[in-house]
Parts: sequence; structure tokens; C-alpha cells
Amino acid sequence: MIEIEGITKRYDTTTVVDDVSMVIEPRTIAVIVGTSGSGKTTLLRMINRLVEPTAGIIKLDGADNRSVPGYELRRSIGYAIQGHGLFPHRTVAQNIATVPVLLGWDKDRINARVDELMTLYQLDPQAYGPRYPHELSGGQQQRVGVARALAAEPNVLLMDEPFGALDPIIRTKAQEDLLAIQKRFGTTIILVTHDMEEAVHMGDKIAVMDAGKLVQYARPAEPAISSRPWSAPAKGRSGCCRSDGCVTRWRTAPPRAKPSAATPASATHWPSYCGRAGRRYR
Amino acid sequence: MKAWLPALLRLALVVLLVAFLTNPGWFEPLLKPLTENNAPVIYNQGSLLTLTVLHLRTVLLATVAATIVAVALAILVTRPAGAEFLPLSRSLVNIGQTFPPVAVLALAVPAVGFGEKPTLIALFLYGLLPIFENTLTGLTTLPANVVEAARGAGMTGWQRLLKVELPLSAPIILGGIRLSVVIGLATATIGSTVAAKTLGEVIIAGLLSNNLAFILQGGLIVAALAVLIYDGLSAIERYTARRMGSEAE
Ligand SMILES: Nc1ncnc2c1ncn2[C@@H]1O[C@H](COP(=O)(O)OP(=O)(O)OP(=O)(O)O)[C@@H](O)[C@H]1O
Ligand SMILES: [Mg+2]
Repeated sequence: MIEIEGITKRYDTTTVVDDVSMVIEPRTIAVIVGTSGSGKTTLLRMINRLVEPTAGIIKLDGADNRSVPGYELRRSIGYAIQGHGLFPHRTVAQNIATVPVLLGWDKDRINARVDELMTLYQLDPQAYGPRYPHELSGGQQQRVGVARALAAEPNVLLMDEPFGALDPIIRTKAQEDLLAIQKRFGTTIILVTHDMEEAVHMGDKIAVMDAGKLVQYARPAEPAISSRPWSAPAKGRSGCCRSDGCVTRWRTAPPRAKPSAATPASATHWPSYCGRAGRRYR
Repeated sequence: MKAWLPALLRLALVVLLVAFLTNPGWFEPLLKPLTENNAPVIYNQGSLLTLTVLHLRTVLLATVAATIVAVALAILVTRPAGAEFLPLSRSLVNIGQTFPPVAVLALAVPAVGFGEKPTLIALFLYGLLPIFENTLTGLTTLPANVVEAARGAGMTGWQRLLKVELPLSAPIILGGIRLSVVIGLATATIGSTVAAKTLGEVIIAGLLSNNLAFILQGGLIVAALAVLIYDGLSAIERYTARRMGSEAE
């Protein structure tokens, strides 16, 4: 269980995460959505203390996350960083083995684990294990990033847009695999995404962040989520609709800012399905 | 140009250098026209090979010391605890560079006496800046995402430094070392003015006795060494860069 109590992060005078409180039940998936810059990554990184909060407490299974040294805490929490962050000078196998090596697992166990994860993510261990990250495609790199986060079988997994670079088919597969892993090991997962479909599909609960505040935290089926703001584009937000419903998209710029020369509309990450069958709102 | 041509030229240079150092007599006819009044053609106050080895040893010692100090200093000032010393260490190292080498020698002689020591001090001071600057550049321009991933995986500060930051900066640090070695090879020749045993001895002997052949052979050996070492270190640098994945070739 993860209990976030009144967490605030300020950089100088700007409040990036503003008094957020939420509880993530054990063995569930909480999905965080929200505009770019709304503080999702910052919130995530305060859980494994890559960022120290200005105020508030985070408890993992009842224990304050400051009760152990930061590096020890982080070895026990899987973290798939936004944009994979693979070590360019280490092979795929070495990348995946990072945390097990730090934890001092023996060689055989590490090798077995690396092979298992690579097979799970459809990367042949013989062919891809000795390669370097720059010899992989973006989607493959991202899968290696997720495998690295999973390697030490952590109880808690933080995932920052882990499937963003995957094509729809592999993405669906990766989502199913993650759900299977989560069921099997009872992992508690916090996942950040920009894809509403993914949020609804994966999340036991969905948290919506806006300008540092947690504005909604509910089950996907609960009215709060299925009506406003997802069913129709709210004022100042952009979205798209297709025959079977609407999805609100969040702009790259803060909600209040109009797209300008500085934040051209092309910088917005539209969900892939919007372009094809969707009608776009501004 | 064919790919094997540079390799062939380098090989030829190595063969020529080794031949000249081991059997300088073979080249006497070539250099003969440069001398007058039956002056000796090949340096005769010591073995060229020994001088070359001593020259290289001086540069090596100074570079190793400069590397250790400069890299340690750069690591120190890029840690959160040492950040406030960054401007100070920058200016200290810059002072080392703005001092003319002759002045360093002149100041060092009264303190440590004649011989190799003042030369080592001058080369050491001269070697610091390129290595320090490059190490700083390397350590401060690492991809933030990768360093954060290392933190996120639970590496301690030391583990991050040794397993991620230094390996990824290695190509840039090597570039700094290469620069300081080449500067050192040239600067070491003036060490002979304070009685250090380097190839400068040959050049100075030539200047004193107006013997062009001496000047030329001293200068050419230093130049050949510089070219070969520069090339070799560049190759190591390229190899490291590829191994560190910084070039997606
Ligand atoms: N170290 C920092 N210093 C100052 N401001 C920061 C720092 N880190 C993040 N911020 C600011 O905090 C805000 C929230 O950043 P964060 O990375 O949490 O956003 P996000 O919701 O993850 O966005 P995205 O969807 O683009 O990943 C941004 O406006 C960002 O500029
Ligand atoms: Mg983010």
C-alpha cells in the first residue's frame, strides 16, 4: 500500500505538486493522467525519493519512505523512467541486470532472470542480450527499460509513460504482460500515461492531475471519470471525438495558455487514433 | 584516398623512427649536406634512443600526475558538496596555463634545483588545464535521463560515478589527456635549458654549435613522436566513444 499524505513540492516560488493526498491499495494499479507539466513525474519521483518533497509524507506499507537510505529504497522500487534512460555503455543484458547486480544476486540467478524478462518482451536473449541500446529500435529500448524496472521483482513499480514509443500491437501486448505480471506477483503499480484508453484499460483507479493538484481520483467506471472532463472537451482543453465516444486530450502548454508561436499545436502529443477516425476539438 | 594509405604512412613513420633511433648512422649521408667544416652529423654527446626514452618518461610522469589531479579536482567540484569550489579551481588551473613555461622553469629551479624536476613541474602545470576542462565538460554534459536512471536504480553516489559518469565521460577525458600529452612533448624540449635529459638537448646542442643537422634530427624525432602518439590516442578515444555508445555508427 502506498499512502501519499499532503505531498507538496515547490521549486523556489512555483508549486509543482500541490498538497496531493491519495492511497494506492496493495496489488492495484493507479494510473496518473494530466497535462504535460502538471506534476505527474514529480509526484512519481517523490515516492522513490529521487525528489525530496517540500511538505508531506509518503508511506510504503505503513513505513515512512524516509526510514531507509534513498539508494536502498530505490533498489526495492522498480522505476521505468520517462524515455527509457538506458545506459548507453552497457549491453541490453547488463542494463536489465542493473538492480539485481546492486542487490548482489548470484550470477546464475541474474542470467536466468534476464533471459526470462527478455523472452517475455520478445527480445531473443541470444541475439539482443549482447547488443548496446543504440542498436535497438525505440520500441525495443522502451521494453528493455521496463524489463530493467521489473528485474528485481519489486513490490512497487513506478512507470512513467512506459509504452509511449510502442506500436499499437506491441503496446497492447506489453499492457497485457504487465497486467499478468501484476496479477502473478501482486505488484502495486503507479503508471503515468497520456493515453486515456490505456488509463481506462490498466487502471484500477485513475488520478487526474492539473497544475500540480490532484483533481480526480476514482475508478474508471465511476461517474466522475466517465462524465466530465472526459466525455466532452472542456473549455480551454482540446480533445477529439470519434463514433464511439470522446477523449479529452491535454495540451502541452498549461490548460489556460492558448497555443501560440512558442507552443505550436504540432507540439501536442495527440493520441494516435485521433488522427485517423477522430474529429478534433480546440 | 584509400583506407589503407594512412595506416601505411603511419607504419612507415614508425619504421623510420625506430631505424633512426637504433641506427642513426644509416642516415648520415642524408643529413651530411646540412653540416659545415666536418662537424659531426649525428648527435654524439649521448644516445638518441636514451634521450627519447627519457623524454617520453618525463612526459608520461607529468601527464599521469596531471591526469590524477585534474580528474580528481573535476570530480570534486561536480559533486554537490564541492560545487562552490568550481570557480576557484577553474581560475587556479587557468593560472597554470597563462604562466609561460620558461618562467615556470626559472621559478622552479631555485626551489628544486636543476634537472628533471623543474621540467616535470612545468609539464604538470601545463597538462592540468586541458584534462580538467574536458573532465568537467564530460561530467556536466551527461544525458540527465541516464544519470537519473542510475539514481532510480538505487546506485550510490560512488557507484554512479564509477559505473556511469566516468565511463560515459571517458572519451572526452581522453581527448584532454591527448592534448596535454602533445603539449608536453613539445614543452619538454625546453626542459633541457635546465639540464633535464630530453630531446631538447639535441636541439640546444645544434643551436650552440650552429649545427643544422642536430636541430633537425632533434625536432623531427619530437614531431614524429607527437604525430604517432596523437594518432594512437585518437584511435583509443574513438574506440572508447563507440564502446560508450555515444556514436551510433
Ligand atoms: N528540478 C526542477 N526545477 C524546477 N522546476 C521543475 C523541476 N522539475 C520539474 N519542474 C517543473 O515542474 C513542473 C512539473 O514537471 P513534471 O515533470 O512533473 O511534469 P509531468 O506532468 O511529468 O509532464 P510530462 O507529461 O510532460 O512528462 C514543470 O512545469 C517543470 O518545469
Ligand atoms: Mg513526466
